[in-house]
Amino acid sequence: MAEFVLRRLLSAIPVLLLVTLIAASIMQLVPGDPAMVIAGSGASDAEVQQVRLALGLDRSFGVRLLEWYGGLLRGDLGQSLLLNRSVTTAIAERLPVTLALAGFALLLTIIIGVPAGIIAALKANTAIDQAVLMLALIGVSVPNFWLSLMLIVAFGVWLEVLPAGGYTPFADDPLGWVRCLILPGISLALLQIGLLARITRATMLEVLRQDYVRTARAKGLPIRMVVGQHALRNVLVPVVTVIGISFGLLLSGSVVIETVYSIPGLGRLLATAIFSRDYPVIQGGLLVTAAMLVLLNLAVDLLYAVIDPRIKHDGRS
Amino acid sequence: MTTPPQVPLGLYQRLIRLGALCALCIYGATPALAQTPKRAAMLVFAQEAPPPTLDPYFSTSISTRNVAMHIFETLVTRDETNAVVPELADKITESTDGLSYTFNLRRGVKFHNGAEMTSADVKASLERYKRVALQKVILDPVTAIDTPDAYTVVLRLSKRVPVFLDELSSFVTPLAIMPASQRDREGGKVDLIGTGPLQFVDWQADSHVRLKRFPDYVPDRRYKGTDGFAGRKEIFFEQVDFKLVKDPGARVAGLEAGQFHIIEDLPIESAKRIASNKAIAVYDLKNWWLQGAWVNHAKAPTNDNRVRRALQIALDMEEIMEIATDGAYVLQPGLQYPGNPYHVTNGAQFYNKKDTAGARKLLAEAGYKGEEIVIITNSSYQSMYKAAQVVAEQLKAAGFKVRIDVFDWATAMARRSDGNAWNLWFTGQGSGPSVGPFAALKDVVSPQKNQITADPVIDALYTELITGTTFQARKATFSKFQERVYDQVLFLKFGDLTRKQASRANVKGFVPYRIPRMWNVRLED
Repeated sequence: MAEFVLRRLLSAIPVLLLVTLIAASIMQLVPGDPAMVIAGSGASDAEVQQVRLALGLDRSFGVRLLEWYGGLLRGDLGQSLLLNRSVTTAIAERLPVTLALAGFALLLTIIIGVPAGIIAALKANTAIDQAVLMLALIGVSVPNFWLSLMLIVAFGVWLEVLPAGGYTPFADDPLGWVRCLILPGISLALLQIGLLARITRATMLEVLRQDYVRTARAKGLPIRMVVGQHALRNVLVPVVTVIGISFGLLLSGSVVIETVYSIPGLGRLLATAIFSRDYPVIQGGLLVTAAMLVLLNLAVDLLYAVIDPRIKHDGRS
Repeated sequence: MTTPPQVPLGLYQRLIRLGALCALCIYGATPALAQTPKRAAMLVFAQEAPPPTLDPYFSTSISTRNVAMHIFETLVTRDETNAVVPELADKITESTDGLSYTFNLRRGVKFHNGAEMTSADVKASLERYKRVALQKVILDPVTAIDTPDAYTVVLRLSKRVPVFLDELSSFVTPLAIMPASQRDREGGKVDLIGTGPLQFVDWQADSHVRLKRFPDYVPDRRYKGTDGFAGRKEIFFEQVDFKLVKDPGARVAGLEAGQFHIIEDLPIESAKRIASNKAIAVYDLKNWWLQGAWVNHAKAPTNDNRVRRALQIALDMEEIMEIATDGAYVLQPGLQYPGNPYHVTNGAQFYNKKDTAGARKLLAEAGYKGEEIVIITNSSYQSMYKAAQVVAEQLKAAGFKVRIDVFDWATAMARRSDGNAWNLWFTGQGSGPSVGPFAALKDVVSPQKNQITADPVIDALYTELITGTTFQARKATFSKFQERVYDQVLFLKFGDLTRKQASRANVKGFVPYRIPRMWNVRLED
C-alpha cells in the first residue's frame, strides 16, 4: 500500500510540471499582459511600457519561466503582479474558502443524491422513480448562474433569511459561515445531485438484479437489510468514483458561483488572474488545483480497497 | 451669633436636588452633545472592479482612484465645477514670469502614522512622482524643488507652462502626498500612508478593501462641505468597506437586501425595476464618459478621409446611444461637456447626420471596393460592446463590409497598438474629458496617436493649446482642435454616457462624482 501511494505521488510530479508549462505557454500566446490592467484603460502605450519595465515583464518568457521553476524548487510560487502579496499567501487565503464551499456542496450531493438514487431504484417505474428522474434532469439542465441569481432574489432579497452574497470566516462566526454557504452550496450541488442520483439509480438497479440479492429477498430479509448489508456495498465502488469526479468538478467549477456570490475563493482568484494576466497566480493556482485533483484520485483509489477487499494496491492486483 | 442648625435633608429633597443637578448638567452639555457627530459602525460600498494597485501614481484605473483618494490628498485638486483649488496647499503663488510656483502648506496636517506633513514630505513625493508615476511627464518642466522652510515648497520650471496647475491637479494619476520615507519605493510598492480622512486597514485583493476613520484628520475649514475632490471632509463611520462585487445582479441584490449601503454602476434595467422601491435611492451621474471609437488612419480603407467621412455621416448617434446605454445618455458633439467653460460645438456639422445616401456617394467617389472595416470591441464593457453591434449594422446599411472582433479588455488593449488589426476601436473616454480640454483627447496627439498615423496639425494645435497664456486664447485653440478631430475623423464620438448609482434611502449626503465620496455621508435612522 505504501509503495502504491509513493509510486502514485512520484508519477504525479511530471504531470504537475507539464500542467504549469502548458498553462504558462498558453498564456504567452494570449494577447495582453498585466501591465495594461495595472496601468488602466486611460494609459498611453508609453505608460503601459513603463509599468511593464517596472514589473520585469520585458524579460523573455524563458527567463521568467526558469525563474519561476527555480522558486518552485524552494517552495516559492512567486509574487502576484496585482494582488500585493505572494502567490502562496493568496492561495492559502482562498483555498479554505473553496474547500469549504465544495465540501458543503459535496455533502449535499451525497446526502441527497445517493438516497434519491436508491429510492428511485427501489421504486423503479413508479411515480416516485419518475419524479426523481425529473428532478435529476432539472438539476443537470438548469444553468447554475441563473439558479444562483434566483436564489439570491428569493432568499436574500424577498425573504431576507439568508445573505445575498459574501463570505463569513468560520472563526469569526460559525453560524454566519454556515448561512453564507447555503445558497452557493445549493447552486453548486444541484448539477452533481442530478448526476449522482442517476448513476446511483442505474448502479443499484444492476445490483438488485443479481442472484445474491434475489436470494436475500427470497429468504425473507427486510428490504433495508437487503439494501444496507448486501446491495449497497456493491453499489459504492462506482458511486465513489462518481463522487470523486464530482468533488473535482466542484473544486474546479466553483468559479461562476464564487463570482455571483462574491465569495473570495480559489476559482474566482484564478478567473480574475486569467483576465488580468497575473501569470504567477495562474501558474501557482493551476499547480495547486492539479495537485488537489491528483490527491483526490489517489484518495478514491485507496477508498476502493476499503470498500471492496478484493481490490489490493500492493502491486499484485 | 449662633449658626442656625443644619436641618438634615430628607430623601425626597435629596432626590430633587440630584435631579436638578442632572438636568443642569444635561442642559449644559447639550451643545457639546449636538456638536459630537453620531457615527455608525460601518459603511459598505460595492464596486465592480478590483483595484489593480492602491498606489495612486501607478494606475489610471477608476477602481484604484475610488479607494486611494480617500487615503491620500494632493497639493491642489479640483472642485465640483472642475476648477483648480488648493487642498494640502494653503496658498499658491505663481511668479510673474511663470517659471516658479510657491506652495505654502497647511500646518498641523497629520499622516496616518502620526507624523506632521512638512515640505520634506512634499519634495519626496514630487521626486517619487517624477521617477515612477505613469504621468510623470507633468513634472518634466520642473528643474528644481526647493524647501526654504518646513511649510514652503518652491517648484522651479525650465519653461512657462500656463496649464501647470491644471496638470498638477489632474486626478488621473493624482500627485498624492506621502511620507518622505516612501521616496525610493518602486511603483505599486508603496506603504499606504496618506493624510486623507480614511486610513488603510486591510486589502483582500478580490474581496474588499477596508479603511477606517482617521481620528486625527482635521477637516479643511476653507470649504463648507463636499466640493469635488476637495471640501470639508468629515467621516461619520468608524469603518468603510469597499467590497468587490463584479456581478451587477449580485450588487443590486446586495443593495436591496441591505448588505451594501451604496453601489457603483447600477444597470439601467435594474434602475427601472427598483425605481418604485422606497428603500432605494437612484442617482444619475451625467457625463461619465464620451462613448466613441478611435479611427485608424493607417489601415485601408479608413486611410482615405472620404471613406472616414462616409463612415462618420452614415451613423445615427441616437440609435447607437439608445441601445448602448439603455437610454442613459446625452447627445451633443462637444469633446467637453455642456457647462464646462471649454464646451464648443465645432465639428457639429458632421455629427449625427444619419445620411446613408451621402455616405454611399462618398464611398463611390473614393472608389471603395468592399474592403473590410474591422471593428474591435470588448466583452468587458457592455456599452462598448452594444455600440459596436449597432454601428456595424448601420455601416452595412450604408454599403460597408464590416467584421466585428470581440475580445476581453486586456486583449482588446493589446490590439489597439497594432495598426494592422483594426479600423475602428471602441472605447469610452472618461477621465480625460473630465480633467479638461488638455486631457480631453490627448491620445490623438503624438507620440500616443491612437489613430496610428501622426497628424502634424493636431500636434501643433495641442502644443498651442497647452501654451496659450489666456483662457480666450486656449478656448479659441480648443475650438480649432475639436474642428480638426471632426474634419479628419480622428475620433468618432457617439454621445455622453450617464452612469447610474444607487444607495439605501437612509444614506444621506452622498453626491455621485468621479469617485464615490464617503465623506459627509451619514446613515439616517
